[in-house]
Amino acid sequence: MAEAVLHAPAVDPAATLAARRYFLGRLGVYSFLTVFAFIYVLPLFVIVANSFRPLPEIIQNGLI
Amino acid sequence: MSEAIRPAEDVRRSSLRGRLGQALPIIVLAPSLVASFVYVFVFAIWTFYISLSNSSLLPSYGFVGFGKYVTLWSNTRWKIAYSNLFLFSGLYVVLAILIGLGLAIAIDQRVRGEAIWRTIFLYPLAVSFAVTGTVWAWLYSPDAGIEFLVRSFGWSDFTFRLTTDRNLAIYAIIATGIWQSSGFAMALFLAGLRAVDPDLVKAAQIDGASAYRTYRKVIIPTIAPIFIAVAVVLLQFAIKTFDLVAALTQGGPGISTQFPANYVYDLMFQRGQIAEGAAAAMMMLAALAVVLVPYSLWLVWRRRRESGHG
Repeated sequence: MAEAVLHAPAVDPAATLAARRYFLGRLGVYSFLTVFAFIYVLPLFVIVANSFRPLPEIIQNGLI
Repeated sequence: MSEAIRPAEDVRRSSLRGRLGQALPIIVLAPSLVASFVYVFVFAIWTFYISLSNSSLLPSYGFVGFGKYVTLWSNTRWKIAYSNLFLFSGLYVVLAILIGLGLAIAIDQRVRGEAIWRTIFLYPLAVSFAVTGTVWAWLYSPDAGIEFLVRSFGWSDFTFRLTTDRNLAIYAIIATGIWQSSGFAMALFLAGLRAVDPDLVKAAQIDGASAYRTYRKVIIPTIAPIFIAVAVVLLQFAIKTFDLVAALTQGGPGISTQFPANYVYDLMFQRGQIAEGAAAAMMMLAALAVVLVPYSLWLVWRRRRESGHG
């Protein structure tokens, strides 16, 4: 009896669906933030990276 | 009530002090009020008079009339600059608000490392428009920026040249402006989202509203005043745009990204045509008034309505 109660939530389809929806929601939020964070950080990265490179190399290989 | 019981002298002294205390805010504010009056109204009227005068290299006060406005509006470069101003302001304000709101809502979903995300999105605001324009000019540049990078990966006919195409350069400026300012919108929206009464949200959830519906019908109407605050601040960024264009495209290619502020600077300080420059500046003021006068009227109307109900 106790075992049945313990096992019941693991196969509950509503709970699995809710968990999957929660996971997808998290994935969406984090990927949205990551894409924008990449665009926002790119110029800063370019500035910092190029401040460590000699000028001939920048001219030859581009800024990024 | 208590003053009535006091002796007469005491009443007089305290009323003198009371009157002084009442006048104190006005006395303290007077210098800045006078200064703002002089700098806003007197100088605006002076500029208006200069725009009607025969000033060239230096201001002079011979009255000519509205001829400079006619000259101004017969110039294609000015027409492009003025329409660019409206295109830029509209897209910049709307998209910065939408992106800022999106980022604020995403951050408000109890994400991990919230402070890091917030810092990433807000740091562009600490960078001046001149630096923003310079860095993005490098990134947009076909010889060194994103196009060069992608081509060096092997995709040899990849093209990404916004700033060298005269139809697209204005959108490069808009995108860069949004990059700079949407973090500011995000910060204000996030503060607003945090201030929404959690009971309202809970009530909506109990009623079975989906997350989308909760945001659209409950949370966003609650933070509606923030939209107006953000729009007004961004709009005055947009109308005085000068350094972003000067650093990013210098008004080019050709004359496709001329802006009124650059045009005024050019006329006044490069070509020595102060009267026409002043006329252009008055047209910028008119563009600002088109937006700000209805806004302030709306504020007055709303205050009246609220006090009427109260």
